Amino acid sequence: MSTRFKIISYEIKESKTGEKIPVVNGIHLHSIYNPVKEAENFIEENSNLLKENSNILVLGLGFGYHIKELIERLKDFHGDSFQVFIIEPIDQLVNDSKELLDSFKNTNIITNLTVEELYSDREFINFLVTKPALLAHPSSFNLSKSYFTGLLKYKSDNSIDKSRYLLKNHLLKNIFSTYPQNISLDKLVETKCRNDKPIEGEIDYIFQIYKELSKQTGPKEELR
Amino acid sequence: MNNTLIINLKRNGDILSLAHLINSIHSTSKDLISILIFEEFRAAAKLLKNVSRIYTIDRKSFLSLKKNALFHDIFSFENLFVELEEVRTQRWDNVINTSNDRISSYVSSFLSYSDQRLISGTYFNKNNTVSFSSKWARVLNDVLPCYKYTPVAHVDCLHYLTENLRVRDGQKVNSSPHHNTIAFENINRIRENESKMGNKIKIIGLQLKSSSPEKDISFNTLIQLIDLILNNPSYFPILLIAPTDEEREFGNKVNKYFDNALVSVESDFKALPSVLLNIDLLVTPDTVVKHLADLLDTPLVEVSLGWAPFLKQGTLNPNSVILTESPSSRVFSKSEFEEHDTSISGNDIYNAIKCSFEPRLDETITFSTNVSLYRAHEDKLGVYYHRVGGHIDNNFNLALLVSRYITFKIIIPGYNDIEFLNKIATEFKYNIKEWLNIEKNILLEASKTLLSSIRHLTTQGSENNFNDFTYSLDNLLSSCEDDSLASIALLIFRSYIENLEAKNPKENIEKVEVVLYDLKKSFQKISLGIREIEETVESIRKNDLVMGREKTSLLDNRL
Repeated sequence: MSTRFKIISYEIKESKTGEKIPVVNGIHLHSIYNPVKEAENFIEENSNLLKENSNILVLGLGFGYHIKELIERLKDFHGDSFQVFIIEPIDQLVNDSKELLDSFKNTNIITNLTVEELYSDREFINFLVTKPALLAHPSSFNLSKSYFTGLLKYKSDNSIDKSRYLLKNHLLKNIFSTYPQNISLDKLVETKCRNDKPIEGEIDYIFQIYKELSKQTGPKEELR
Repeated sequence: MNNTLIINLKRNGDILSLAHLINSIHSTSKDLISILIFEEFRAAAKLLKNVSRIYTIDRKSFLSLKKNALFHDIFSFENLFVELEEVRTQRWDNVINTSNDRISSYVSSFLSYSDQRLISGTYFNKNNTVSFSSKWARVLNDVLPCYKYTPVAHVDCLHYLTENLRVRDGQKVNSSPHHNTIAFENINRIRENESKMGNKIKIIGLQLKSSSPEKDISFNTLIQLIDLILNNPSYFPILLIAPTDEEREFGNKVNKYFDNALVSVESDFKALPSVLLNIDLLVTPDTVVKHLADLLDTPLVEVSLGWAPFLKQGTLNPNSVILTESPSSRVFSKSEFEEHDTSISGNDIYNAIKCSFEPRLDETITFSTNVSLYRAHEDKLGVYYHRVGGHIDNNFNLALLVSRYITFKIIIPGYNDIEFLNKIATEFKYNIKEWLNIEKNILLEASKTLLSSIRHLTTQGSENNFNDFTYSLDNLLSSCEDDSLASIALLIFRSYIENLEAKNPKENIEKVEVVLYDLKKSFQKISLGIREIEETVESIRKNDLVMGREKTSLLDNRL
């Protein structure tokens, strides 16, 4: 089970060029010399990725210098049709960047959530389903390495008892409360879709559709 | 006013083809029509006129949630549930399942849970067995996908399934007035410029790519074709490109060959109807653009390549033509298809263009060896395809017409169509006998096996009899896919046998007996149909003899 990030020390320094630099647990999250230039270079290095993807998942906020550059670049490539999700486990960084964050378009920030909580967040899940490109802010990633690694290597628990509470639809929630709780959804589907089993209610057809749809490999992009 | 839901969980082309059925239902009943499709095909579905609502299943999102270990499976389940629950809570008077797959059949059953009689097509009944709303549902699901000669056009089968008469007139596609104006202005500018040089031109749109490489017209063939078009001052080519990098790149490659002198038009689904409405002819492989052109009555040359059965959903427009390699040499199965260099050259496509503009040229123009030209014809029962030029594939062409007659004979009680019989007999009077004899022999052998199955079934009791019965049944079913006339009845029979439901062995035997006797009746109808054809041929030949025409025709035939 992943836990929230522990801050041992938190201070704000000033860069040679006059910008604020957060230093967390002794780690400088931006260049102490020129954070804006550093951000420009970082975004330039990832320019092709941003050209090909309008949805970006950013791991690490810092004080948002790279986010400002990122949004400028996304606007150049995609106009207003882009979406950015930023994950920053340290909520103090988010609070201290609030003014800057409020000025960003099409940007969501998630903070102070465990990995489990993150993968229960429907808005975040819906964003991930669009298959966004991943952009990890190096110093933020190193600072919260175990959190971000946990995020990338997460494996969902598909048992009915662990996942039933995630349902929003009340009707479905009630239906699932009547099923055995200690089995996985796949196991439940297998039981419900046994060849010799007659259909006992409308929901049984949904289980069959679910099973058939799961077998598919996915559509081929087709324009003509 | 009734609420009708049409389900189609296939691709763009199949979805657009629904426009014919939607037009017929809307014209005759004014039903409110909705459709249920996969979300990724919404752009094509939006072109369908007279659709009050588009419901979707977001398959991409479902699969992302289901297949990725990061996500809880329950999210994919809930999304699916919510999407379908939204459709289920509407009141439906008719649910039409137009795609032959398990998902659409389960969806149909879910949406009509309280009254499965509302469904046209296939569904799963409450014993979880596939059920068919009518024999036409069996033709749609078990004959058309398997039988080589497409005895009933897909669009007609959907109309028979839903007991609708096909209405030809009526606007079937939504087009954007804004795009219509732009397309008209731009294409008319080309016409005016050419007119100033004294050329009254026909604008020919060239669809460069299809959804699969084996169906595409090759680069070299396209170059040869465009070269020929450019050398004819009456023709003007434009390249039609979908807004994808792949198509742009290919379009640029083609255009570069002609020093970038070609006009190319890039259009998405919304703008495409406007472009097609303003050109004189489309040249295309089997694509969704072909279906769209058909709905807009824009004539086309369909270059049929690859493994897709070219007559199942071929162009319906009698002013269009289909160019194919000898059909009997083609493989209409994805798994058995092997890529090869096609005999269809740029010159063949160019000649097909000329035929499309001037049908009188059909029989006089020469095509490459092994290349044939087909057109859609129409009678009171619907569309059928007929060779009009190029290579003559006698047995194939014969099978096309006779299998159609026999299918109607099996399905429609008392069917007898003198006009169609005369058509078959007139065209094939001197070379049908041997073919029919082969079919009669196949039917005879199948009938023997059938009678043997019935005998073994009705004298059940010993293990030997049971083994003999299953052996006969296996024999019978093994002939399902030999593309004979008997196999039309056998494919329908198989759909019964594979989906029988019985509470006990006794009931099972009784039900098998019923379907075996039904097959026997179908065989008798095939036999009767063959006899009607033979008699018509005989009568026409006698008439020819009286009129003194036989000698000349025989001579013609020999030549």
